[in-house]
Amino acid sequence: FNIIIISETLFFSTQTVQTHGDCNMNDTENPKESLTQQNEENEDGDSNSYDVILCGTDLTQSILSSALSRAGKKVLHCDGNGWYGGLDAVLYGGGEREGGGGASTLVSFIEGFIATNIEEKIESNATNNGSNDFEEIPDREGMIRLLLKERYGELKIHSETFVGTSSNISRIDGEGHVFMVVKKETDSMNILDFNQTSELESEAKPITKTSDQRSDATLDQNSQHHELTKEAENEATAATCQTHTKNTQMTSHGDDIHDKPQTSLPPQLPHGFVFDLTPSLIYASGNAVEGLIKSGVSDYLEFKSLEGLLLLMAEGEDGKMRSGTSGFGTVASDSGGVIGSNKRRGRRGNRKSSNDVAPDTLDKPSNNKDGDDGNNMNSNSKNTDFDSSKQTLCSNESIPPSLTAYRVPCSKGDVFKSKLLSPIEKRRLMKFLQLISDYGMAIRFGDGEVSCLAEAPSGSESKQDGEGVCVEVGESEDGNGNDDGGGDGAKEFGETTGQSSQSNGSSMEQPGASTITAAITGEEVIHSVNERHLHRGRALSRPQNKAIPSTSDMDALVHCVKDRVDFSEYLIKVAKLPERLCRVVVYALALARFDCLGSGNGESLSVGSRRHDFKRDVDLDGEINDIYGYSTKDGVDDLLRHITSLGRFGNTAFLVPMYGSGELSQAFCRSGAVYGSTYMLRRSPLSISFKTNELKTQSICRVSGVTISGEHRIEGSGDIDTEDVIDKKIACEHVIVPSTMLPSKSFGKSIKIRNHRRISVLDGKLIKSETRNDDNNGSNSEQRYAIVIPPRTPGLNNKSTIHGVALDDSSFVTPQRSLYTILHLTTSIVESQELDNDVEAEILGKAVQFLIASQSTSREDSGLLQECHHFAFSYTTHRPNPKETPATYDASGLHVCYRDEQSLTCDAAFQEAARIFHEICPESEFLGLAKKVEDAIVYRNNDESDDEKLVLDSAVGIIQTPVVDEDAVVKNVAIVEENKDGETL
Amino acid sequence: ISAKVRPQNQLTMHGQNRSEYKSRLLHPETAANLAAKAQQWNSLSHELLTQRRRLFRPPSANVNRVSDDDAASPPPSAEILLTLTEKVLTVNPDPSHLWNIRREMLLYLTQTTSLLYDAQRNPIIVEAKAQMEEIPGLETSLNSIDISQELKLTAHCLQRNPKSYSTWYHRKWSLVYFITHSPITFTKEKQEHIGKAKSILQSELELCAQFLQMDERNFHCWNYRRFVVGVLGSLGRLVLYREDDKMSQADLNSLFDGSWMWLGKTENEGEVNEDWMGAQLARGACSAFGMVQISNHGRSNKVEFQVSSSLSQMELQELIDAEWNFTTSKIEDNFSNGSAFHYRSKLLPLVLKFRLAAARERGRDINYEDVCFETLKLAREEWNSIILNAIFTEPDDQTPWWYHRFIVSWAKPQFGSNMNSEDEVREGVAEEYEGLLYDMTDSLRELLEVEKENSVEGGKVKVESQGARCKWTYLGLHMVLSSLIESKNSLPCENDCKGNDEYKADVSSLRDEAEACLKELRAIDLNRLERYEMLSRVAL
Repeated sequence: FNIIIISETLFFSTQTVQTHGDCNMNDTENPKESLTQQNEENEDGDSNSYDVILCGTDLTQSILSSALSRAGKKVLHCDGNGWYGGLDAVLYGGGEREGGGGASTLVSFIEGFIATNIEEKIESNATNNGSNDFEEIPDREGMIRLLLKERYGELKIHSETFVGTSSNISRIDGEGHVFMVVKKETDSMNILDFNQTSELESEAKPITKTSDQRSDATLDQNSQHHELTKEAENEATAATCQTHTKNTQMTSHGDDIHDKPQTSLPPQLPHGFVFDLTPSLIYASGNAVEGLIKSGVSDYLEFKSLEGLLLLMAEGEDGKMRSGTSGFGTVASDSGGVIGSNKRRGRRGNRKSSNDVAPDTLDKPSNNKDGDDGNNMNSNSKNTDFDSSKQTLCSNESIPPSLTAYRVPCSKGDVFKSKLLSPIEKRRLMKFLQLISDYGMAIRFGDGEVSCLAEAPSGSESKQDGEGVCVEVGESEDGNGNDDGGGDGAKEFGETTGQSSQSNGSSMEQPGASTITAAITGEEVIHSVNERHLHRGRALSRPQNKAIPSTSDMDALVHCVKDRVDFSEYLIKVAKLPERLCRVVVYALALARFDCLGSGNGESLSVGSRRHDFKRDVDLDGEINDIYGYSTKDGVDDLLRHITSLGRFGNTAFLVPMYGSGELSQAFCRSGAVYGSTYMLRRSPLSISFKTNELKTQSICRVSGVTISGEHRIEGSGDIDTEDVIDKKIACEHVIVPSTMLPSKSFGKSIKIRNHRRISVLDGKLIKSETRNDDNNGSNSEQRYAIVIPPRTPGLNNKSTIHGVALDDSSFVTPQRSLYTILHLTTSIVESQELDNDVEAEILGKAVQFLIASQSTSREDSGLLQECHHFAFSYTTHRPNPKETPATYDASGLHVCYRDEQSLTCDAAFQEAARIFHEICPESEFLGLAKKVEDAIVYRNNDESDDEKLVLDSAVGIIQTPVVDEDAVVKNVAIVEENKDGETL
Repeated sequence: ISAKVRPQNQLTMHGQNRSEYKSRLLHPETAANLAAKAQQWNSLSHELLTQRRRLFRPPSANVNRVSDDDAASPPPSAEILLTLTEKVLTVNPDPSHLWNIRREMLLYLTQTTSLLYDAQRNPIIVEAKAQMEEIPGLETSLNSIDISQELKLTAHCLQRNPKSYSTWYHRKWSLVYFITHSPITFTKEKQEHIGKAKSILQSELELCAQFLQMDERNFHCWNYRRFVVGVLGSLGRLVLYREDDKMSQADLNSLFDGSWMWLGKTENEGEVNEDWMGAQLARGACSAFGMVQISNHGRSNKVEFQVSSSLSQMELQELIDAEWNFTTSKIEDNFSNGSAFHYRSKLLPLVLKFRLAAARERGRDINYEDVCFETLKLAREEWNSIILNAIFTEPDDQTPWWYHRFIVSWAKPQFGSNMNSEDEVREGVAEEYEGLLYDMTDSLRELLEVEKENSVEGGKVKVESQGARCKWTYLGLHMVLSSLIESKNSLPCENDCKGNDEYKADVSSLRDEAEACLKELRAIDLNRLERYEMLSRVAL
């Protein structure tokens, strides 16, 4: 296997050299081909042509590059950044690393973003046009211009605290004037800003403010901060939050941590942090694991099991806390507004003085530009009162309602232990989960797809399918079951949905349903439930010989799947789960992203109506139903994905990649390089060119190539040859481009989803371990947790599910032996003009505080854990819409890959990669191993010695050694002792 | 690769498909390998037996047959035999005769260490042995075995096969031998020895935890764990040994047999309290120590708590608490674990005792009524925290149901029929007990309701062996109902409530429900038809 590793490094080294040269690389292909290419591409004079050019090194593209190069394609893979991974990348904390702007640090990521926005501003000013000229739709002849690398997915940065260590503070004001304040000036400015902290400012350069990255309309969005929650202010004050308040909050934050209001250093993000732009876990059994093992890429990676999946729920009855946000403030203050308020108030008092100075200096450049800033001025002038009132509110606010993080009951043991459920709920949940897993088993080991089963023509076939016992069951199904069993369920269901025709339809399809039940009740499947799947642990398996599920339940489920019944409807009316349990199932087990409960039934009327209002807001041509509609099939599929991964490894269904999940894309790129892909970093794909061939009557639009940017030398980087490299067009057959790189406008009415992310660094262990209370109160437990916060959580009022991942040094994402926890929060929302995106960012900020509060068991505890750094951003993904493909992207050879929406796992990336792979190489195997590699692996695994034989051989040795006298005996025994140590190991 | 999978990895024995496993073994390459190994092992074990025979052969026989096959082979040595047993047992830890030989050699070596080489030269070992016994001073210094060596070997064997009876037995034997055969003449040495034994036993508990981590249902290991706890409890008797010369070596050995007799000892020497130990154990203890078996049935209201284990009350409580929590965590991992529940049933009386002792320390005078109430309280806790959750999670798992049966019968207040305690007390206790039972029936009825809600009426063949038909729920409900009826009937007659109409209606409705359960069971579980019919006859 060593050979492979060597060749791999060779690949990498050549690639690196090539990226520093011009784009003329890999001249190894046969000259004849290149000649023809040259003729075609005469205007560029480029002799290289590739089968596939991949834009961006996000996970999906990385998988594709590995898969395509395995299939023998000539692949060029380019990325504008200096690191792998795109939006799936890992970025490192801490200051400058060698490599200048290309370094994959969070700081340089932010700085690059800021710089681009400044440029963009200047450009848009020059054209005297407020609109963004990057989104212009390309003409058919030429090309599609891709977004700048910093604008992928319409990235926005909402806020940050103490992440940057840069000396620059750059700001853009409303009219696009750029204020670049270099270090020296920063110092003086900071003296004015925070006169108490001046000396430390000159020493370090701890604060990089969020620059205002967008035009004037979004300027004040940045000032949102998690401590300024909406409930604390009325609408007007929310609008007036200005940069200066943010600044003070930053300092206050630093103070909170160090408990020294004036002299302490604002915390600086140390080295050793690894931040995932998109943290993802993988299911312990699923597309991702399958792909990793099959491709051998798993050799590059390490995983640990997730310690627990937690669900943040209101304590006690769910309904009580549901009353909404209006009651929240009082609840919060009742539940303990007194905590620590004295301490805090004292510190606030000190800070006020700094507040008074801040607005005059910092905001002056911007405050006369437009109305918004004028508002700010007003608020600034009266900020003493305003702030003090807000402070008391804030201190109330920081104590969220009593939400508790419950362990999600997935397996039998979890259900048994769970404190979340009452006995009767446990029974219902277990019944339901076992039914689902039986259903999954039936799909997998029965007749294949559900649809096949459902469309099975007659009852007689069901008899043929299962012999012996099955016949008996089949008969009873045909005789009585038709009317009593499935018919009952269907009828009942038909009534509830009020669709009378439905019961008719479903009874027509009855045979299909009985086939599936026959497949389950048939002897062979019983066998499989007991034996074949015992190795999966005891996640859900029934006791031995008790494997027959209720046939009528199964019939009802099959019908609901077929009739595309709403999942919540199924759960409540057919599976008869109480509402609370539905929430657990939908959000924590099926891991649904959007609010898909609470329609229709009276119990959650208030909530339901609120949801409908929201629906009306964003409803465009009824498409919204596609998002919020969550059919039984979707739900069951999601559930199955989770359930089948249980009991494979550890206590949960998930694996955590070590060193950040960005390692996944790096690993796939590496394996792509092993198979001959060419990699170019720091080369953005700028545009895709097309060529129209007139063939007889129809014209075929084909991809002809991709223009890839030259290298912009970063100032000061003392590289060997520092001249800029010019842009170059490279010819290719296929282009794979992620939807996030395409101008958003061209997607028309297809659904855009804004993914909000917040990366928080907490200065302690977040989740307290339940089991190991004895040692250190569980505060040193390893942090590998996933957290689900369902929609409409009281106090948060979040529209969609919030997914959280908490990690620490056990997965090597924080400095070793440190106590930090990195908390990733993700939520998403359908993008629309009216919606204020910063609301979500703010909700995420609040969610962090809620989570901290949920873990502090005692009141004294509550002040200990703090969020000391954070970084909030958002980007847009698109949902593929088969009905409405953007017309311009219709060209053959162009493959748009869609990024998965918010998800705890990255399994969807594998699915998407497989889809595109089969478009390009319909015949080949996805991610197959080459023979040579396979042999190496077999050879490596073969090396196993038989220690039993060694022991026996040595025993024979003893007997055969002639023992002459007692000295020899002693000697011999001594030798044997030695041997034995080795053997017994 | 598949052929290379180790055929005898016993740790993964659960959940393997028998036919797959077999076919792996039948793979030609694997089979040939195994056969070669088996032959080698056989010849080794044969060699071992031969050598042992030669070692113990009377000199006369030796003279007769010296010209045979033995002539060429080296003279036998106990050390070599010991090493051989180690090797052979490492590969296959099951044959108990080989363990016997090992023990024989160990004893032989400890008793003849100084004379070994003489013995080798001079084949008259019997004489040597006799000689040695005549030297009284020798015994104390030589009578111990290398315990760490034995623990290491058995641990290794158990890793291979965690369910080997003979290996577990050897481990027990080694421990007991080590503890009981030691320099115990001087107090200081004795204390050192006890300290060492204690630390070994503690690490044994950790080892058990490790084994149970790998397979939480390994009853061998659970048994061993109870043995270790028993020995820990008995350890203090070692201090008494030889100070009062009451106990012989045989008594000492029986003290360390792993039974929990030390727990049964009451303050008054010579009495064994049945309530703490369960009738069976108490009987054993009585026969062993010639003590009087007592039970609360015939006793006054005073209850004694003293335990004459040398472990302090505190240590003992810690030990029992740790064990109690251990079973809890194991049951939480997987409640389908009969061994854990069994252990819990053994610990339950002790937990009760410590609670009562704690109450007594707070200055309360404990009488029998308090014992009953505390018992019921504990039973209720077990019902609420474990049984209820387990049966609602998986009603078809029989394990929690068995524990349920135990709890119901354990919690039943015992009033001897000839005992004239105050009626008020009896009524109060009975009421509490019936309250618990009524709660159980409510939950069980609820469970049945949920289970039955989707079942199809009629037409279906309700056969227990073909799937979940709530057999255990019906059984459990029937048991609770019968207990209720029994409890109601056992109330003293002078209360006149038996003539009461309300009472009659109450009992008869309970009877009807119990009979309904049996009827259902007869339909579900055809294999045990006779049993249900018998139960129904008994009720009548």
